Amino acid sequence: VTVVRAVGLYQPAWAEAGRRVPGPDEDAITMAAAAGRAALSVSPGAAVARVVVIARDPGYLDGAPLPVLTAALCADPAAAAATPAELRIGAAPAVIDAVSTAAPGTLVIAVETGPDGGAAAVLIGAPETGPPGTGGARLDDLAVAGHSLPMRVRATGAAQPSAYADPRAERELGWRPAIAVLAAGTEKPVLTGIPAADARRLGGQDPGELAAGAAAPLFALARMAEQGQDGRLIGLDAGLGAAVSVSKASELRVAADARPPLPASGRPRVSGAGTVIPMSMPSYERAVDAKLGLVGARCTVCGTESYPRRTVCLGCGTHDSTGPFALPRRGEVYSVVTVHVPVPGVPTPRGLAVVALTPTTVRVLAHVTDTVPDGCAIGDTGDLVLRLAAVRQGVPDYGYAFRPDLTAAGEPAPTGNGATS
Amino acid sequence: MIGAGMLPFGELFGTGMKEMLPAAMRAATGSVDKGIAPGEFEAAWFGNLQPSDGFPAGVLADSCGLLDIPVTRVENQCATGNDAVRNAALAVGAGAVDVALVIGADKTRETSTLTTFWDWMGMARDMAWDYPLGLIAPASFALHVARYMHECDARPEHLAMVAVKNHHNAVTNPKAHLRFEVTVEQVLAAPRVAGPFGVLDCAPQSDGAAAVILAAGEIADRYTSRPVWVRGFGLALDRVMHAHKQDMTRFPSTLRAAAAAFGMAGIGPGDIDVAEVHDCFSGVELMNYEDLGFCGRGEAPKLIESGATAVGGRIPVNPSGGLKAKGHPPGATGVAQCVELFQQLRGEAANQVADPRWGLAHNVGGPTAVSAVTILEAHR
Repeated sequence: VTVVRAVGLYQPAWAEAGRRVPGPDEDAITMAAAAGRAALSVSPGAAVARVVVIARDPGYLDGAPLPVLTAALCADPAAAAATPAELRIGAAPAVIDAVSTAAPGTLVIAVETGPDGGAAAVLIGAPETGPPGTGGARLDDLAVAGHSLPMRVRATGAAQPSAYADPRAERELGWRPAIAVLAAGTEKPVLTGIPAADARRLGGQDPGELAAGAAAPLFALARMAEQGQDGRLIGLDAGLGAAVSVSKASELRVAADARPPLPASGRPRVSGAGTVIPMSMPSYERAVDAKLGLVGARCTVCGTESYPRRTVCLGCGTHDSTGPFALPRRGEVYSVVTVHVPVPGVPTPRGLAVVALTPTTVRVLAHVTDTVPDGCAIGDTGDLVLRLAAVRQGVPDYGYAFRPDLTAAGEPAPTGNGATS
Repeated sequence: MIGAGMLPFGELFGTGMKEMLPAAMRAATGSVDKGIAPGEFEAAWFGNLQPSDGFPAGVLADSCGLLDIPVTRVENQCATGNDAVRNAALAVGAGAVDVALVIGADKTRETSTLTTFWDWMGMARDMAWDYPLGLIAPASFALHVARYMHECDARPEHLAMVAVKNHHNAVTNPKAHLRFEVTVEQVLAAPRVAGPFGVLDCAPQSDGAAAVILAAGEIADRYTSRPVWVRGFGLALDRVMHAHKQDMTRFPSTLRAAAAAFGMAGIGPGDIDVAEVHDCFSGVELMNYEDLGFCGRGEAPKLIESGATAVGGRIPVNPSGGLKAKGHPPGATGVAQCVELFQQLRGEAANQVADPRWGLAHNVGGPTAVSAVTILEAHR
């Protein structure tokens, strides 16, 4: 039996034809971080022993920036660096398999970076943890079913899959026999990883509005938890299926990081001729722990806070007198502008803000994200979220962007660039 | 200051650095009433932000035929020009040099418009923290002006009035880059650049060169009976990262540089009769009014509304057209401000202010972290 303590869900803010799509500053790593942080937000005291990321298209094969992810998930940079993280390529069946076989302390994160994008993370717990009724959902009876002839294949480097031009054959030859095995006699299993219409035709439950791909089964698991519904959860792929039985679903804690959709046509985008943005690896290396871990510095002599760390204290001038402290991940806008002109390598129109991380005295310069142009004003509050700031000489450069809070009406803040407010 | 001259600013595609420098030197020597030969220079300072066609000091010495004197390149971001003047003035004032040449020059149009941002910004931003965020110059200043507008009730119209005034002045200045009038409505309707700035709120990218000649006071009358006197100067810095700037409604480097220059000259802001200030973006001129003491805190919108800073007003600012319309080749900009003041204080300017005694030149630049102020006095 595998115990799932918590599930965290993330969906990008942008939508196109009703389907969520990632923003230009998002990738598998940033989305995984958002879902992982959501799961940890409802897992007080949890320590992450291992991170497993699963995606159909992770965006990285060699050089996957997994340390960026662990840095975003663990408060302590040393602990982050020592946390094993692995990247697996796979879809819904791989996720069910990974969750069912993970050891306690593992954070399994499934990511879909295409249309219906999103990420979901589950934290695996030990069977005996927690007071009665709060231990988490139980998963057991893992089963897998293979199929020798996948009808939908995306070769390495291909933008689109090649599919056998008969969706009915795919449903009847590929999925129905697999479901017969995987359902293990259960009525109305929850079917994920295939289109909702096919799921209904195949006698499964409509899993609801979900992120697609690898993230689908964990979004379905969260829905089962919210509805207090136990049952058989099946994940299907072009050539493979996996299933697990879910019980005590109501004990699973769910946290969702999702916002009302913004039209994807308004996403910032890189325009103009491509220009390689120079990168200094030594400079980046000196900054990275403080940057990704949001580690501030506080003077041990006078208490003055600074970020990034400085040799000479801003307050008392003492040399090498600072110690680290964790910065808040929320702040208030001190000044903000929208950059409209094309900037090489940076998607525009893009907000740039100086954000005060109250109650500390630290301010940060950050991109504004997940808003329409001019959708952020002086005085707005919001979160710092891990995003891809730029790609420099091919190296992804991550940092924290400012995401303004929604108003009480669930809308992005009223337009204004600070000049007219 | 016994001589001063400049090339017209603009897109000088046909003129390289090696042609601009001797031409600027000739413009300055040509203005010396009793004449001067290049062999009389004992040292030269070259204000240059971005090298063009190679090693800056060597290009100046070689192209101007000044191989027998020391040449020092000064680079201090957009305060480069006035800092070059300051360095020469220190050497002359110290008695080390009797006659010094100062040239400022830059060729911003030597690289394509898309890459110029990046070629130049690499020097001006923290590589790990600020550079990758695309903190281009207009955004860097706009973050200040947006906060200033928020706290001081300045409206976009007030910014536009600065552009309207400075464009108007440039029309009659043959050395200016953008010699056309604009209206408040045109400025407000122009394509957006960053924050409150549209295209017409921004200085152009100009090529240009300007030169002044400084001589020891005791020998000035060998060259002219009406020199302009360097009475004060200041150079000051500030925190380089925006996150470390406590009050973004002011430029502390300007406050410090102005205090030094006014203290040295023994005068105050109320004494200034004409000023050339750093209006790289329209709203920055408003902030400068307050930082330089031309008006009180939060009073800049009223000052521009009143017309006090127009030619003919109480304190004319940027009669040359300023960076906004005269143009902004950074290394040349501060030197060219001194050229304008030299002419104003001798009654020879294109847009002459009535009988000025005191002139002030001011730059603020880099990541809004360096300012230079030079105070000049007419000969009486």
